[in-house]
Amino acid sequence: MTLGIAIKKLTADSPEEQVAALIDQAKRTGRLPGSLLKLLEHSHPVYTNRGTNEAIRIRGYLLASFAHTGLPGRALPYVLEELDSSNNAYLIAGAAIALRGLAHPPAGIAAYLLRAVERLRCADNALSFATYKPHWPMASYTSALAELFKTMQWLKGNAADSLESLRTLYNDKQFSPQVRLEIGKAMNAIEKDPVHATDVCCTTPVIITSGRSVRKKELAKVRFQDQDGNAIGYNEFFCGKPAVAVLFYTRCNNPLRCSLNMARMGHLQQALQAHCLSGKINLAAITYDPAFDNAGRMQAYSKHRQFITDEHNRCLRVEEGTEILWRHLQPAVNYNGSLVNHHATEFWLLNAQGAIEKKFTGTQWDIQLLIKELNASLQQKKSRLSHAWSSFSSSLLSAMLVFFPKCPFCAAAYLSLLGITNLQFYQLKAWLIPIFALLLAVNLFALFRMGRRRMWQLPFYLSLSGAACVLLATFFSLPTAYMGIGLIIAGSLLNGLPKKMLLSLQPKLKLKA
Amino acid sequence: MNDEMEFLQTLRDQLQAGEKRIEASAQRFIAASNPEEIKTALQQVPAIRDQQEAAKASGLLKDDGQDIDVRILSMQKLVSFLGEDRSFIETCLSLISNTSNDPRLRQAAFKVLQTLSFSSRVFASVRVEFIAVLRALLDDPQAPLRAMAAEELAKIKDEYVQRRLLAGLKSSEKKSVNQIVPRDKAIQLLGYDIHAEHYPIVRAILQESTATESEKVEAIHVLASDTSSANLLANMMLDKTQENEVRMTSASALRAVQPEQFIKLAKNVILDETEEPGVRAVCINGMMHHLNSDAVVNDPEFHEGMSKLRKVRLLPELRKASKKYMEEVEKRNKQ
Repeated sequence: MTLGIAIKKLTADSPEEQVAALIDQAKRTGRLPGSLLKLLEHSHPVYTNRGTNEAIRIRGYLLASFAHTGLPGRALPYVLEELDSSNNAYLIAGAAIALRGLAHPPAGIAAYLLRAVERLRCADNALSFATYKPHWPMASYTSALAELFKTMQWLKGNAADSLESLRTLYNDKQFSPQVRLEIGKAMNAIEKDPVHATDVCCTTPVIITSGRSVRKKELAKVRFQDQDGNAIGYNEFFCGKPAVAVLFYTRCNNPLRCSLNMARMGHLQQALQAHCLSGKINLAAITYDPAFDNAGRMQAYSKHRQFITDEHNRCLRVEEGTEILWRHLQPAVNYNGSLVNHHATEFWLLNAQGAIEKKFTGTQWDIQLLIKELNASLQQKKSRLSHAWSSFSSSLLSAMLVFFPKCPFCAAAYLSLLGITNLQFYQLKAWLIPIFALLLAVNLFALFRMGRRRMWQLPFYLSLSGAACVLLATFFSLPTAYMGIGLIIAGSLLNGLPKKMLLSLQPKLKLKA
Repeated sequence: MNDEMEFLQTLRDQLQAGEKRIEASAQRFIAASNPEEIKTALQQVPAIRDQQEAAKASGLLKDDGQDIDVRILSMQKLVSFLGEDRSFIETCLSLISNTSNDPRLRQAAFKVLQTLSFSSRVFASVRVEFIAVLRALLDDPQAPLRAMAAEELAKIKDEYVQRRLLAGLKSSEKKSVNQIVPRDKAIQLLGYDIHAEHYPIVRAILQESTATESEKVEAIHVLASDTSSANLLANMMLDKTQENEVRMTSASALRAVQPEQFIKLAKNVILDETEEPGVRAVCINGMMHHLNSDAVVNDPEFHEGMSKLRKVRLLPELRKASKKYMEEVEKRNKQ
């Protein structure tokens, strides 16, 4: 079995040692099977039913292996996400090592490393990537800070924009002598490199993807409970207005993910108010952990993070249809039993039909960009309405043109039709009957003439049957009259069709020309 | 006014007298040469205050042949003066690591490092070494040091200690070589991290017939954050063959994990005259945490049952709890 297939076959039941052995094999061969990249996805089954530390062990070891196999560009967002928002030293170190597998380091990477340094300066840890699940005490080990600065050394001139920060860090006594040694080496490497990159990027490249939406009919089965205990359906809340949705859970132990996301919902709420958009956009924070996050817990969590809830802004826990909602949103999350073991930071922009317009992955929320997207979505909603009206009106106009009387006979037919159908509303109908009967006869005559000319007598026969019904109605019931009127109308309308259309219809109607 | 002035003067005099006493003790510490004199002087000194004292105390601490009490006292008195000195922290680390050192000295050094871990700014620079030392201590022959190290690592949700604790719990023998700490302590330490992979094994322990009461109680505390264990907790709460402590802890855990299920079951327990009064009292107290719930406030049948309970002879704690509960419910209903 090839390495790629073996990795592909990994499941939730695969022992973690087996996963590590396959990663080791990839490291030894220096090959990067596509299935190894798939393991970076948070929702990959290999992370299911494992504790958070077990998931971190696999993920951190996997990330570090990219230094041996090479790190393709499409894996970079996963690496940057860990550098930007993880609070675990092993994951951050793994991500720092992974960067060294890049063929061409993009400028601006150093900013991520520096942000990770700031988070770890009081939370560094003793680590080893030499083996999976190492046994302590170890003769030699590394630390996340040391690995971050080693990557700075590897970046050389590409980290030129960080030189001043490195000088400040070098003089900080909070760093151990070993780490300061690595900082010194990084400074040397940058200074000696003749190429100094100047393109500075300091925010996570937000990945924007269009989602695959589940059908509205199916989404109707998704039922929520909000922070006040009210029941509401997916379509009730998400249809009618564009919406922004985030996922969170109150037991998340990374303050840079769920907690920050909820606070950002509060910021977004304020920004919407400032742009006069509040009430036009719905905001929803949906919990990953509906079994634990009850209404009261959600209410307290959102309140403490200044996300003010009301009918347009809600915290939601799924009561029914979790599987449908997850299929709809496709969140990057995994579970150990009912508890989340790891997840990414992402949010969704939903259109007024509740379908996914865009999915943003990354930790940095650019509120202005989001407002722009929301405005575009609102404009789209308006233009959709006007498009619907314009297509309706153009169809109406076309229909009117099609049936517009194009000759005196047609005009007479329409007039007679209008006259006879309103007969019952005239009080003096006794003396009007002969006049309308005459007009009806003119109509039939006109249709007959037209039919002969076009060699198609169906309109005439229809109108003749209709006229017979109308006359019979004087002896029978009113419904017979209506049926007659209907037949006359159908005959007249068919007669009004242009010749070209008639010729195209003839084969379908199996009519002989 | 005069009284105030006099009071302040008295305070000043007392402070000066205290200063003089400390100064005299410090002088005695510098002059002392035999262990008994040093020990007495150090006990009277609140903390080392200058370089001369620090140099002497550091020398005493590093002297392997010195009396253990003197070394411990020297180390403790140096904390505030040398707390920002990396070499002092490194000395403490080496004292812990050296298994040939007296266990009391090693434990004292451990406690000093625990203090410094939140009081010293420089401690961050030795954090990595500290964690490595703690991991090594998990296999130390001294059980108290093993337990202290395991607790310290568990607090930072360290994956290595979790791995070791789980291995200890998984081993079939109760006194396994894999065990760092007793089983009940291991369960408690794993519970520091709700995201750890311990729930299946803890659930199994709770259902073991040989599990001790303390193991069960610790297991229930841990499962109080696991929604998948709600039914198991409910069974424990209702199982009259279990110890009262186990049942009461289960009731509290179920309340945390699945309040609706708890309220439903607690009502039956409270109204059951054959039930243990302690378990009933815990259920009543638990219900009081959910006075916003309709199931608690709007249940006339249950309240009628409760009002009847008040009239029967009950244990004082149960009578008190039920009375308080009814008062709270009445208050809510009036609102």
